[in-house]
Amino acid sequence: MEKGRTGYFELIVAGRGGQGALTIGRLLADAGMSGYRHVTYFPNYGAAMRGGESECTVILSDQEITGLAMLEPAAVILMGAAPLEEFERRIKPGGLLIFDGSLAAQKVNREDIKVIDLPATRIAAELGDSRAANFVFLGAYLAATGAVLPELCEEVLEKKLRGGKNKTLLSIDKQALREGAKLAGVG
Amino acid sequence: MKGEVVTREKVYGSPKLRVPLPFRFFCPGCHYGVIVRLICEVLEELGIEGRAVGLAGVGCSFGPIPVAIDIDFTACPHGRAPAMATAIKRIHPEAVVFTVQGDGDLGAIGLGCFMNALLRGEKLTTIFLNNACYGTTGGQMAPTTILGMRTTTTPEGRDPRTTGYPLHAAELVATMKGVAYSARCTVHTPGNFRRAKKAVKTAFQKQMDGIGYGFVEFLSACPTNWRLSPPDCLKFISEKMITEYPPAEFKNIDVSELPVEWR
Amino acid sequence: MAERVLIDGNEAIARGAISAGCKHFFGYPITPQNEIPEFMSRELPKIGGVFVQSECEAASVYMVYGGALAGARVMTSTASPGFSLMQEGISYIAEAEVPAVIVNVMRMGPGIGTGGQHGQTDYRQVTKGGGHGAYRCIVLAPYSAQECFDHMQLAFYLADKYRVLVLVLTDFIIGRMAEPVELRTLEFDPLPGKDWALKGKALKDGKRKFFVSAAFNYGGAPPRYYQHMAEVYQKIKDSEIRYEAYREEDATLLVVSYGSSARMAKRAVDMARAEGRRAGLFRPVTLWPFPEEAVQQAACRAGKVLVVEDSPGELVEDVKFAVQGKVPVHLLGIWGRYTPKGGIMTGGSGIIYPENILEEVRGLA
Repeated sequence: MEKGRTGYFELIVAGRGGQGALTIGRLLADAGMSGYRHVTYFPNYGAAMRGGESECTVILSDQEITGLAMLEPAAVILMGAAPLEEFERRIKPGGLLIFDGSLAAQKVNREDIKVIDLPATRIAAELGDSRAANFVFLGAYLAATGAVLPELCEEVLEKKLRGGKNKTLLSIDKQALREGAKLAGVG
Repeated sequence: MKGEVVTREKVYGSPKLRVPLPFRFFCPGCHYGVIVRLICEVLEELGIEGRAVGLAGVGCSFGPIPVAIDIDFTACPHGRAPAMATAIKRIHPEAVVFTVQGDGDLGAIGLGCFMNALLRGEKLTTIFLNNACYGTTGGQMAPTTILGMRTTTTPEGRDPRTTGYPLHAAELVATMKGVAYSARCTVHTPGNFRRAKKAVKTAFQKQMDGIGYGFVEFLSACPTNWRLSPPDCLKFISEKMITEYPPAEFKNIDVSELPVEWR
Repeated sequence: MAERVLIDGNEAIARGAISAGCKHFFGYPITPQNEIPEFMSRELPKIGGVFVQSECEAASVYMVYGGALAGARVMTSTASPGFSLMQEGISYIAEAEVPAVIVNVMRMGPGIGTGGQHGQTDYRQVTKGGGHGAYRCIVLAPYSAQECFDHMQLAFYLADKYRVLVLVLTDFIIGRMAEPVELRTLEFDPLPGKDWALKGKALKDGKRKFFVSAAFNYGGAPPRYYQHMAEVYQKIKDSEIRYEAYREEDATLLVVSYGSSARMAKRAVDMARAEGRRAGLFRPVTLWPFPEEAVQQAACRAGKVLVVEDSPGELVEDVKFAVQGKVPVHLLGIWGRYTPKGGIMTGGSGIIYPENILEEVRGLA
């Protein structure tokens, strides 16, 4: 079993349509399929195709998943300028918040949660495509929790993008995952 | 003369497919009975009675027509026969599927359903019975009621300023791309009956050949609601109805007119 | 073992239908069920099936009616406003006693509601029948992607067995949530042939079938028709009631909930148990026939009931009727949603989270 694997992980990824919040949530769920008996991926988004709020909940578990969404998640990834105040308040004590402080209007006040503040958009832009910021966040989450091995995510990603026109995109996404893991400052 | 041998030959009778009804469904002078006979003859002559499936709309066609023709048949909710026929034809492409619909059924409540079946280019046949009024419900205005005609809901005569204009279904249908055949007929004279029979045959043939939708509109007498005697109804058709609704073939395309890849 | 895939409830519905032998789908786009017609349009032609995009839900339901009369396993799917449009056709299908399956991935509210967000506000319409004429439809309410897949197979079987319409009721949450689904084929008892199907008399036994009206089928006598239907419905009640009872043997509070709310309620029960509170869950799987007796017995054992549904209170009516005033019945309805600050669409519309249910449970057990 992977390091740090506890048999139950829950994560909310929140952002706006187009930022890829649902993409990394689904990727995590897909990658979780090989190691966990139970997986739920619940995307929740508005009627608009682009630009509306979007949020997804992912649960990976060895036991039956009775719920499918939660008020108080163990971990939250906030994309861009998603409502920090709302989610900071809701995270379980001892939980994890991953966000981009450079884009947030406020500071995080809670001291009973672990906070990973990383400039994902800037890092992704430096790698060649700012749209890969979501993978920087996911990389950080995987490194911090050990929910699934990053290699598994890369495998799923390769399968999904196979035959796609943009080979550079895949390579940037993978680099973003690794970069995120590096910057998570685990340990 | 004494000693002469008399031989009898049956020269006229009911078509084999015509099921005798236990009681009289159609009013005296109504043309529905004639049209039912015509449909039976066409099905028999084309030899398709074994694979024919009929669908009757709501109105005077609802009960009697499914009973009166000895083939698989269902009555349909008001205006929905083309949707139901679509499914039956798609599921059993070898069946010959047709609808019999009145003017309220096809032209009012079911116009959208009918138009969309045409737009989809379904391989179906529709027999449209235009008697210019709602027969079953008591002679109210139909989409096909001609201007000036008195009905129970246009007591002063149909006035286009408040009730709009009559629907010319056969002409409209002919403009639709998925349609292979569209004609308007009457059965008020023997000659017209013969022409109508040919039209219905062609409309079925278009379906059987997979070319497209076949449509035949009938001008049909309604003595009860027109408040005319059967002979006066014939006069009304030849003088008034035909002026508004000229019998003609509006479209007849064959397979050579289809794009090569669709043949 | 069957293949295990991560798919959402909508796709599970579509795949379940195909595994049940449904090769004909007639549908119209409406949120949040679009994944079903999209999947069918992609997959059915590959297996020699037919997908028809109708012009409206009224046309969809009549295509289903025609297809059912033709003897095929046919279905459509829709969401609340589209389901309303289908009511006339549903009544006709019930009258003709032909088997078919309709899926309602319900969404919130009367009218346009939130335009496609979650909610469980069709319970009364779906279970009591929105169409005319005192008919009944079997209603199945899956609460997981696996159940979506399995229930579609069950739905087609029950429809054929009793010659009734089976409605599968899910919602935005169940439709969108992806879970591992084992693509297993369920075994059912053999079914009688469909000698009544319309396809041309030469294509079957040479005898023609015709259908005019139910009263006509039963000698023109409505009481005889309703007597027959009552017998059919009684058979269904006798053998097809399904429900799940979870940690309820020693419960002092019975939570009753179905569909997506039951998922939240189940979690809340676990959380309550972890605090030493004896809560249990009763989840009706068939909403019609409703497990009246089982609810009553479980409710009386517990002594107190909390109904959880994402609606102003519809399931609670059936529960109260079943319990017959013997124990108090509380409701946590749509007002129990946690509504975050900020967004007006997704976040803003709120959800009844397990934590919200737990709060209520704490006050009662």
